[in-house]
Amino acid sequence: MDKNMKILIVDDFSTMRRIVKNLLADLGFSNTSEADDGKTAWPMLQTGDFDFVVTDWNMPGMTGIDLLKAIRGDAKLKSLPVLMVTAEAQRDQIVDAAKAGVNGYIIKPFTAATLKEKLDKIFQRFEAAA
Amino acid sequence: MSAVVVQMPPHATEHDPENIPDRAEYIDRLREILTALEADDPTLFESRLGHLMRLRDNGLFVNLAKLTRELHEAVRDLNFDDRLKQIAGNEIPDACKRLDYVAKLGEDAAHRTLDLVDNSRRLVDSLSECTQGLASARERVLQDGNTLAWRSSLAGEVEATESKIKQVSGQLRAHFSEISQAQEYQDLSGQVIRRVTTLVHNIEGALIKLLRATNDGLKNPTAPPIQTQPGELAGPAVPGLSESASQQDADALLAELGF
Repeated sequence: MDKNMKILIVDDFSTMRRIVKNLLADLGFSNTSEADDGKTAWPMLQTGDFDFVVTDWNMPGMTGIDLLKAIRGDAKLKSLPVLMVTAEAQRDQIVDAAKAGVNGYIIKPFTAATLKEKLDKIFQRFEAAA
Repeated sequence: MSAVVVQMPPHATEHDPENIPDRAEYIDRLREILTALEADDPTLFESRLGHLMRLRDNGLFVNLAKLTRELHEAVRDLNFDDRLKQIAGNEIPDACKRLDYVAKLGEDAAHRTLDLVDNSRRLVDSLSECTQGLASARERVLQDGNTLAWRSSLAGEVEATESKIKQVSGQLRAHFSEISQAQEYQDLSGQVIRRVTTLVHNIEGALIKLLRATNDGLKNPTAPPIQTQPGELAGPAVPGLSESASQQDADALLAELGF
C-alpha cells in the first residue's frame, strides 16, 4: 500500500473532515485533500490524480451516493476506490451503495480501528486484483 | 388569529351530502359532451369536458371551505387560538434559534478540541526529538576519554533536555485541561435541547387535542405522525428509535453481497 497515495476526503462538516484527516495521518497517509460536497469534489477528481476517495453520504449540493455513481460512470475514474463513511445506516441504503459500486462502508460514529480495517481490506483486494 | 377566509368560486352552493350535488347540471353537461363526441368535434368536446371538470372543482372548493371553517371554529371553541399563536409566533422561532446556537456551540468546541489535538501532536513529536538527544548522550557517556569539560558540556545538554521535557509536559497538561474544558458546551447544549424537547411535547399535545376535537379521534394513535418521504435520507440512527444496521450488520450484509 503506497503511503503517499493521494486521498480526497469529502464531507460537509469541517470537523469530520479534520477527524478523518487526522486518523489517516495516524495510519501514515498524509497526502490528503478536502472537499465539502460532491459538487466541489467532482472537478478536483477530474484534474487531481487522486488514488482514493473517502466520502460522506448526506451532503447538500451533491450527495456521496451521486458522487459514487458519477465516479463509476466516468471512463477515467470508474475504478477509483471509494470508501463511504456515513451516518446513514438503513439496510436499503447499504444495499444501494453496494449496487452503486462502493468499496467499503463505515457507519458513523466509527473508530480508528474500523477505518484501518476497511482500508486494509480495500487495498488487499486491489493488490490481489492487480 | 384572524378568521380564515376562503374565496368561494361563483355558483358554488352547499349540498346535501346524501344526494349527488348538482345532479341535473351533471346530466346536462354529460349530454353536451356526448353530443360533441357524436359530432366528432374535438374543440367542442374539450370545452364541454372543461365545463364538467369545473363543476366538479366547485364542489371540492365548497368542501374545503367547510372543513376550514370547522377547523377554525374548533380551534376557537377550545381556546387554542392564543396557545397556537404563541407556539407558532414565538416558541418555534425561538426554538430554532436555540438549536442553531447548539449546533454552533458543538462545532466551535469540536474545532477548539481538534486545534488543541493538532498542537499536542507537535509537542509529542518534540518529545521524541528529546529522546533521540538523550540516546545520543547515553552512547557518548559510555565512550572513553571523558574529561571534566566534556562531562560538564554533556551535563548541560542533558539539563537542557530536562527543561525542554518539563516545558513540553506542562504545555501538554494545559492542553488536556483545555480539551476537557471545551466539552462544557455539552452542559449548555443539553439544557437547550431539553427545553426544545419540552416544546415539541407541548406542540404534540396541542395537535392531538386538536385532532380529537375535529375528528372522531385518532384512528391509529400508534402510527408515527411524520413518515419519511421517499427519497429523503434516514440520517443518523438513534438507539431505540430507528431500525438501523450496526457496523457488524453492514459488514455481514456487504459480505452477503460478495464484498
